[in-house]
Amino acid sequence: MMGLPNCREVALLLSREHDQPTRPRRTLPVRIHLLICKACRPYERQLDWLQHTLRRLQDTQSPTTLEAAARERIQARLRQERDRQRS
Amino acid sequence: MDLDPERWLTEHGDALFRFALLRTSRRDIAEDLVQETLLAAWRSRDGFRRDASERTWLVGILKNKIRDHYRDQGKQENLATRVAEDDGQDDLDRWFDETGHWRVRPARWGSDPLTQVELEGFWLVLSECIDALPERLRDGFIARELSALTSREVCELLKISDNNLYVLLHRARLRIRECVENGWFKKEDHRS
Repeated sequence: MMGLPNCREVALLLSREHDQPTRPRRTLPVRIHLLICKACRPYERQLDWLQHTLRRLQDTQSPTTLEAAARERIQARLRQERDRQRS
Repeated sequence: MDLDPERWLTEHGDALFRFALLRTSRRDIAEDLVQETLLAAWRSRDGFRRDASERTWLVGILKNKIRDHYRDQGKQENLATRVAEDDGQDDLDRWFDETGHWRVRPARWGSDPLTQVELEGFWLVLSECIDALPERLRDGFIARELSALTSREVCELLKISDNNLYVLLHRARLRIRECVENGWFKKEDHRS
């Protein structure tokens, strides 16, 4: 197994793929590691699942968005402040 | 583009709210913090650099508002323990042994997406997991994954380099992954 990266290195690479502006091409040693490693493969899927779920939590239907009433309240307050400063 | 607090609310309101919600666990307080943040931003709009990211600027103001909020409450937010906990990169040894192998192998979670009802329950588990992160990991993770800042914007917000950010988010994900596995996937009763 010489030259192959270990799990510690591969796990960092997998995480980085989610943050780098352009997804880097995986090198052959990394691809081989992921083919044969029974720990890193599930980890890769877990990261994808988390990513997908975190994105869904940003949908409008999610429990993490501003409610319409709160949004209107804040909007009214902002408008008041803006108009006050302009006049 | 004109600086306009109503447009900020439309474009960045949810991102700010999510950040505040995760830091305070209270919707009403988070709503107030969003309002205070946008008001403060409007009043200090002359200080905004046109070439900078609006969202990063607003989240930066929000972070200060959250700190003020806890200070007013006389809570230091366990700051001392959190800082002590977050002492650099050494915690990677928690997950990997001397040979670089996983100490505990990540489990198979299945790939089914959550139903809408499950998503509500999952959110509760996830927010506890995020809350347990050391402060900088938590801020970075929320900004990147829930307030949808780009990597560059999170670097700007936390004043760290690209490489530091990659490692910081990696460490956050390792903790979140483990916490979600134990708190959600191994507890079927959460799931409907």
